[in-house]
Amino acid sequence: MPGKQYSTEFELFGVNGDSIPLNILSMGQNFARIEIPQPGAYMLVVRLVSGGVTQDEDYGRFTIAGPQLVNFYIFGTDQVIGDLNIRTSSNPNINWTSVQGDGFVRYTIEHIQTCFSVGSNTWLITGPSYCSREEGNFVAHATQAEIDTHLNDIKIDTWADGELGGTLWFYWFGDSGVIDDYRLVVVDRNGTVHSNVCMIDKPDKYEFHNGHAFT
Amino acid sequence: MRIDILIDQGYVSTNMAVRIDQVELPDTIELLDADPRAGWLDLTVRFGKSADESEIALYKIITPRHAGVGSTYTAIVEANDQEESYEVHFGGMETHPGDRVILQAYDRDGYLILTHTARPVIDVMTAQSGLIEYAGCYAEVLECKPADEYGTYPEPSGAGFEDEDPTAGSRTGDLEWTVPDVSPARVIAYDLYYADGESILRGEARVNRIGDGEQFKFRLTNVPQNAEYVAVVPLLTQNGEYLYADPF
Repeated sequence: MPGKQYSTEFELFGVNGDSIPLNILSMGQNFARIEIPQPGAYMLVVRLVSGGVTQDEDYGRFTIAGPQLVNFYIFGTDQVIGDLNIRTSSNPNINWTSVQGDGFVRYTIEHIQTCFSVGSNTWLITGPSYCSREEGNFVAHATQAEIDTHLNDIKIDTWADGELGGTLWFYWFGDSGVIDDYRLVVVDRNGTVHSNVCMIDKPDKYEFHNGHAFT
Repeated sequence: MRIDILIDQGYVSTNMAVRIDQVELPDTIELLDADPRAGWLDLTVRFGKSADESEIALYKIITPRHAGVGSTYTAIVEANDQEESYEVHFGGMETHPGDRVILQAYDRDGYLILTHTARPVIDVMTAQSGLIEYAGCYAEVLECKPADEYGTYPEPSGAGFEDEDPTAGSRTGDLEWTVPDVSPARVIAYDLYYADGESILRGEARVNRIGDGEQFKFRLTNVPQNAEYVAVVPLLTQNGEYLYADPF
């Protein structure tokens, strides 16, 4: 509103339409940081007011989730990893409980949505990015190898008559400086290599295309 | 399929592996929506055992990732011998045209099995009293997805409904027709409404579609007694945009 002095007013409502006291932490020309009292579903109404008269009004609905159960399914050992450390940037050691499954151990924490790091002094824990905004459950592997990699994504575009083509993304853990090369292989359930599909350079993204046959 | 790394000692296997052999996933998968509003789900996913259950350690269910009451849209189910089937209640979430639920699995070594299965979401919308306002933000959802008008939608052939319910005044049966070729657009859902001779009585469901199958089929139950027609609004996508066509 060029030329007009205006102020911005906020009003917070709960699911029942009750007005809820709101604490505004800071506010700029086009942003505001507000404190939400507790987890729940809310509607925030924003008004532009000039001369005591509302000039415009808009609203948005949102939900603040409370603490939730987050599970880490760690394969590679049936034993509970006693020194497993699950942490966030603000909490260096989150308490967990564990249940032994068939080939894995499920570690459970109760925490608000955020990103976690998972580690151990005795095991290398490899898995996806542990951000619970998208996932409430994570599957990872425990290994005692010095170096390990983790599959980030794989897409098979063609798979017919023994021909394989697609794209895969992966990243590695540990000291990548000692890795000379990667190879993509087809193995059977016993780990025996049956087909050397291709060699892979050392980028963190690798695309392979038509013609890499395997049987 | 696995990636190995070459170090001084030679090739060393890594845990970067996926199962590319054929593992059967459950073929009985039900998606239940207990929320009668258009654009919202109260989602429960049920599925039976896999024919290769002994190969599977975990099932992973991935639901549409839209804003919703909760913010976690995946679930892990541990395979076990005690259950005849599995059930996960996700609760409330938004749904948009074309949504589907994907079922994946991890094998006993914790490796993702490449084969997966998907089912289209059926959004129950029996609380919808008239036609959805497709060109606007019709539902009180957090992420607005207005649609453009498609133009003339070809009349589907082979449309039919056969009442299988012998009870007077009660109708149950399959509604079906052949999906016309509308390429380069693609039909991603049909919105079904009951109508009398003059107006829409109420909504029934948004039936999303997966793939380009030629036949559409949906089972109608509890058809309102005064319903004379089923009005169908095709929802399409082209170049990433939602489109809607006039009802037929």
